[in-house]
Amino acid sequence: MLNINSKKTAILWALLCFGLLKPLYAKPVDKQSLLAALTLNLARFTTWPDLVNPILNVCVIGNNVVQASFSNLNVKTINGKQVRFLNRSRLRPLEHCQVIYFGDLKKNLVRQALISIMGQNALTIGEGVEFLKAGGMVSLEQQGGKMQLNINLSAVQQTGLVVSSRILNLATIFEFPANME
Amino acid sequence: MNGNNRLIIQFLTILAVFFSHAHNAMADSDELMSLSVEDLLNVEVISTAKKAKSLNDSPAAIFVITGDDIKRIGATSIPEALRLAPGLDVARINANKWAVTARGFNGRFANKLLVMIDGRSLYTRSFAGVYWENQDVMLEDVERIEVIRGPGATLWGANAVNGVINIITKHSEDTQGGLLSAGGGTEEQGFGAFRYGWKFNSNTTARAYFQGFNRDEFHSTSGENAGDNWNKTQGGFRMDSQLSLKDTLTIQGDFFQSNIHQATTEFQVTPPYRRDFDETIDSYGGNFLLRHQRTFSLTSDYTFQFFYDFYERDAAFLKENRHTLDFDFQHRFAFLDWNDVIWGLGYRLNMDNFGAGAVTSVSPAKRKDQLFSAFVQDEITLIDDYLWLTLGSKFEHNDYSGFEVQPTAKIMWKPHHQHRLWGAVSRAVRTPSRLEHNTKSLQLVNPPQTLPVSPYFLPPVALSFNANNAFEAEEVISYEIGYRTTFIENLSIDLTAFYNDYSNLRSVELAPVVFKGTYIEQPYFLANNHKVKTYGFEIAAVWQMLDWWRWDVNYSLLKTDFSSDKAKLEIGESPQQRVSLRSTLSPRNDVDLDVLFRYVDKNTAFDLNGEDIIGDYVSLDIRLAWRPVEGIELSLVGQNLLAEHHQEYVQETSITQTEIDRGVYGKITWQFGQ
Repeated sequence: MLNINSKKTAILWALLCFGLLKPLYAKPVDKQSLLAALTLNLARFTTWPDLVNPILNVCVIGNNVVQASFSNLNVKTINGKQVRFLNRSRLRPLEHCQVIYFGDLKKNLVRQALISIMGQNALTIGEGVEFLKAGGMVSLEQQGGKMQLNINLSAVQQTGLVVSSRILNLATIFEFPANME
Repeated sequence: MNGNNRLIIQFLTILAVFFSHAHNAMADSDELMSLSVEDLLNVEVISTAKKAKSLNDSPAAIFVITGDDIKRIGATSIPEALRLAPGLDVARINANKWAVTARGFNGRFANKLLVMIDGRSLYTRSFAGVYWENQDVMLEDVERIEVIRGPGATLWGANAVNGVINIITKHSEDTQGGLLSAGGGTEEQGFGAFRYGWKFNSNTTARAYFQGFNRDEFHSTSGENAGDNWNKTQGGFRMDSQLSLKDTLTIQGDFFQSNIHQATTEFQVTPPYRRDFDETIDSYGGNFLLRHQRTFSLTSDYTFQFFYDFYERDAAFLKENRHTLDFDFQHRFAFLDWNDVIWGLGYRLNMDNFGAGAVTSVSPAKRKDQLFSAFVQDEITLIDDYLWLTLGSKFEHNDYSGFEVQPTAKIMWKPHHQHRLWGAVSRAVRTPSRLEHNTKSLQLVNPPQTLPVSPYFLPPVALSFNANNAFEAEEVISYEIGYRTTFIENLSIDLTAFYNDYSNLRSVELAPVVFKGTYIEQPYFLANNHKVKTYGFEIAAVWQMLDWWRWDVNYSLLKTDFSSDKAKLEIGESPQQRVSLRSTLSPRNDVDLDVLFRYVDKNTAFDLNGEDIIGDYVSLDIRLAWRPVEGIELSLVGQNLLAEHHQEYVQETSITQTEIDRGVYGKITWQFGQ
């Protein structure tokens, strides 16, 4: 029979085993950080036709976790443009955004936000195919343990934005025409 | 090296391993940005719980219990799930009754907490509270439970005095496919649930469910069977439709039937003066809700909601049925770019019918009453993304206490993205209930007492309750401040302090005795003579120690100053201190181990025999779950493991004092066709 010290030792070693076993399956990259990194990387491969301003406004809709995922990346410039992160969790103003990242937001508000920026050359990035159906351009979706890139070509083509063919080749292409009835 | 030193070194080694893993879990931001898009798409993703890092932007003491939290503590009812929230006092009276409140004033008929399921108020005008045993949802379909401590009357109306609980179920789009669960054990003798969700077309989804359970009786404080076993079946549906780009429609409904057993005592003025018996309450009810939302723009939308709710209870004490019709309209819009205004109108019609019990009568037996309400609230951005001021008020008219105004002023300051500070001053009222205004009841009879001088004796003395239709609304002025932070990585702390000044609280007053020929009647009636001040603080901390191990710690302190000893006796003192410690551990992807430890300080309750002191207690719940294949989960849950049984509360009216038994149950859940 184990004495008390032996029991404590056994419990501690059991905990240690849990600690050692864990890294075998969990390759740790936080999902939200990955979403932010992908968003900024996609901006690198996007051309804005009329962007003369030396500043690239990245508008972030979401709570403090979403906001921090962008600011923590410490990105100063993209393609020579100075990057400015703007917290747009209150959904306005969106007029001067070149990139808009949609964090967790109700479906009806996503739709209205996309309607409100129609005709504006903004790269819109969200999660799930539903985001594309609502008129969004790029959606990131977790499939198994990895992120999948989806692009709504119709939405991109309605603007003057040019997304690099390198990115289009990596993405699953959807064509959801804008339905603004 | 002695044993202790060895132990310390082993412990430190383990901590070092944990923290090295915790550190590894944090993806280095420079490293992440050096990866190409191709590489980023090949990175393995982990979904670390956001709970430890996210900060709520509401200027209120809000706590969110997620559907996952409910599953992982093995809760089988809404009140059991509510035990996770700080500042809430959840006490199980017996197998089928609960007393739930926030920041004091608990009781089976607690009346200062407003509870809603998907926007449908569970409030009953009968006693101005909630019949918890009537309320259920399929817990697997709960999205989250928002628990707001403190007044919420400006938005939600009267009776949101000490808090608001909003139980929000999942959109039917998120419950597609089937879910079948079943289980049983010692106290949870048998339960099962089935839900199926489907798609009508690309814009419309729906689900339907059916569930039932059979729960064992507990033990009375004297060690006998308490006779409080019960069973319940419930079914329901929800349909969500995207009618157009601007319009969404939700329709949902539920129906339940339960047989609630209880040991009851009734008094009479003739021998034997008291009758103890077991009864079965047949309780059933249902509801239907329709909600239409139109979104005009990002800053403008309206919601129209209608619900109908009914229930019937056939108890020896009182037979009761109630129908509630409720219409609610809310409109949100932005004004001058720095005002977010929300305003609304509401109308509620209550129709009830009381059948006289053996000792209780309600007069008039049938009553219709109406509630008209309007509110407006403006969130003013004083400094963009930094400082907000919220002003608003509810105005309502009810048939019991007339016109009521319930204003609030709140400020929210966001000095940094990891810090939030807020403060609020609010007034709220608790409007009178039907029974407080219209009931007469024989509460207690003391048998005749023989006097020392024969043949003289003291005749029976009957204590009778007489309603008072001049009884007014109770009110509170509440002052709150709060601070939330995530200044340490993976740790969030939410601190709220409050001071509540109550006045016009319900008091019991004796009227002159009346000699009725064969007995003496001591009538008592209700008045608004008590005053109470409460103050305290609540802390909720979440530490995501590792990606797969989270700790939640809550501590609540509640101090109560009564205006008199009589007030203290009649109102009862809620537990001063409550602590809960929860470990949420997933050592493997397919295994969960959850532990919930709680400490609850002593409290007092007031029943017909006077004051009851309920001792402090500790409890421990453990849940172990294993998912052998995708879609199937086996779980084993132990509840109240530290003692064979313990007492949590005593009901105000006379039923058997009951202790809560230790219980163990097993459950299997199968999800398919998603």
